[in-house]
Amino acid sequence: MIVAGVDIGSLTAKAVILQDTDILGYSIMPAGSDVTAVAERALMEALGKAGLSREQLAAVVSTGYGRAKVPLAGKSVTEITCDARGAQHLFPETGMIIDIGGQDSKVISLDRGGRVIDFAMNDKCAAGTGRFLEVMAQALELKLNELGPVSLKHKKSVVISSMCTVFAESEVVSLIAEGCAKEDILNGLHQAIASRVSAMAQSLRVEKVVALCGGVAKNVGVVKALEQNLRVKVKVPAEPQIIAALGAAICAREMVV
Amino acid sequence: MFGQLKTTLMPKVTRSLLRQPLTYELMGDFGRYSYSRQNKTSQGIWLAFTSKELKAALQRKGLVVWGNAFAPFEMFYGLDLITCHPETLAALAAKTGLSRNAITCAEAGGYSSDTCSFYRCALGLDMEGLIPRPDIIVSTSYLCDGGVKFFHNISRRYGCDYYLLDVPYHNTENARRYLASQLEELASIIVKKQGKSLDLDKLAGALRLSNEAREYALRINELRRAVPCPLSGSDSLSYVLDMQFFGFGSEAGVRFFKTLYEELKARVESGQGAVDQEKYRVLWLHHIRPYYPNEIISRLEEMGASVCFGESNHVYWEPLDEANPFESLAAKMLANPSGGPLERRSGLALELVDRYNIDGVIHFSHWGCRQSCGGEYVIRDLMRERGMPVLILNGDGADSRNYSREQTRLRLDAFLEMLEAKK
Repeated sequence: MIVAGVDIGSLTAKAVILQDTDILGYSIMPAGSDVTAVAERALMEALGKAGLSREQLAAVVSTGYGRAKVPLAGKSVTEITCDARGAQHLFPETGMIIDIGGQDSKVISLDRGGRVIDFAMNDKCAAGTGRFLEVMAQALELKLNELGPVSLKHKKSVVISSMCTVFAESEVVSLIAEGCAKEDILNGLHQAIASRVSAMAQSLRVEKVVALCGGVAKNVGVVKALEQNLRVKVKVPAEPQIIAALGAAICAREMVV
Repeated sequence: MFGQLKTTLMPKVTRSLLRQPLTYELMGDFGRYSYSRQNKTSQGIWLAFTSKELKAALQRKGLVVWGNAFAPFEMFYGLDLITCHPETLAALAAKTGLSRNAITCAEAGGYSSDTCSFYRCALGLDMEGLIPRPDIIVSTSYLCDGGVKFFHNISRRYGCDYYLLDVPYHNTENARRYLASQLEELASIIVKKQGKSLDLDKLAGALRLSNEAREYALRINELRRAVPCPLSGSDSLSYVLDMQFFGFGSEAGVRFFKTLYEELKARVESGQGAVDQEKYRVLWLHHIRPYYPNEIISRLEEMGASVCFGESNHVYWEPLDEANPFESLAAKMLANPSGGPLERRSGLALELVDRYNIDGVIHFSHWGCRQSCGGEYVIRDLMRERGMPVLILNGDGADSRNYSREQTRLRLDAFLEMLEAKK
């Protein structure tokens, strides 16, 4: 049986094609402003990579902020439940998932059966999210994928005291003006994100096995900083951005069965 | 042209109408009529009562007292005062869209946006001349931190007397005596101001009315154990709650609770619930809910979740002793489970979970409310030990700028999925 999951996030749209337990194809693209159209495009691209056509899909489930606006989906499920399903599929022993996405961050606690037992989310601002890092990358004149590797070269510890994206940006600009090295500033930014997300995780009780997903999980500097803060080894999937879409596909499979 | 008129002229007309006693007379009559046609006579009684008090306050038919939600209103009715409830008016302003301007007014006047939005809104309404001015202000030192200074500032604005009732933390015999003596002193000051002497029979009459209303409130709470629950969370946390705060001790209070009891009894007997297909029963923690247009409770109900009880609807006090009015009113105030050590509130929450056969708990954390937010994680952990799903829903009761539809919906939907997975 072949099913699909489509995740329309705040910044990117993702689709996963799943046959039993195997991922046959996936896609990631900017979400843009037309949710319905991007859902269609993401699904078609993933199907194309899998060498399949729409008619071969037994079911589609949508998730993410745009989940209710995906007409091709038979059902919509929140990304909280989908993250849980997706992460548990990859790491069955996972007790906690941290998802740092484009405009929010979430911490989800699971029971042994993979059911969500609690969750916490950031409120009202972009602090500790992908958007925060995008703004900082711009201020530091670096590409997003350079942030992690550059930060690992840090020599000094710089403290970024503000977590407000706008205030932190001006703090970064001041540090640059003071001659502070980019790698040190970046490490300070990653530590600030990790400290904020860790506090959220600690409010739920940190489990032994923690999985990290969402676009920010691709930043090795944030991963390291989180591991230091949480004092656990954080598991990062090979493609952390598609975990909610994978979970949605698993929900689609359950829907058919 | 029409659009411009609507945005510039209408708010002015509305504000001008809200300063006229006749508006409230018509509002009360119309409310009674239209709600009775919708089989919601009780809601009509509430609107008529609220309108009547506002009309009397505008007409200055006697001394006008402003009181907070935890003040002893039985005493005010027993002393023949006209009551005014700024917190209710803030909630109504939020519902009708008047709060935005009022809150902006208060903030422009120097009030921090971290202050409770109900008080910011009430202050703005007062600055716009939309609340009848007070002759006396009485507030309690608990539960709302913001209230103490808000009422104090208002009293300075009008140069009127402000009485702060100091409610002790622990519920002890000494605390009761201390609080009762403050109430007795306050009563003697008020009657002196009225040029009268204290009429203990009249005061006892207000306590009798309070006890009568209390009996019906208890029966209502018993009916809410029924599956499906006959009363919607949206009603129980708005006008029903308002009557719980301000209706006890008045004749309208008795009429309201008696009528609501009869309405709910009929619904239970015919198997009619607030939610068509009740799948989950939710307990709401915190006294209030958001009053501006939002879809929190409607979303829950749409998905089969009935907010079948709120901690603020709990009747926590013993019947009042008509022979000892001040002592028994003090005992009522001290018995509030939200005052004192957190064990009282968390203990009540656990009790309500069992009593109302609850599937999940929503703890609404109102922006600027330290009383409720301070205990949320303790209560969540206690519930979690029992395997009870809890959603801590951060939000704002009166300031719609702090409401995000999508963010809230995600949290509610994920909470409902947790409840579904547990079934």
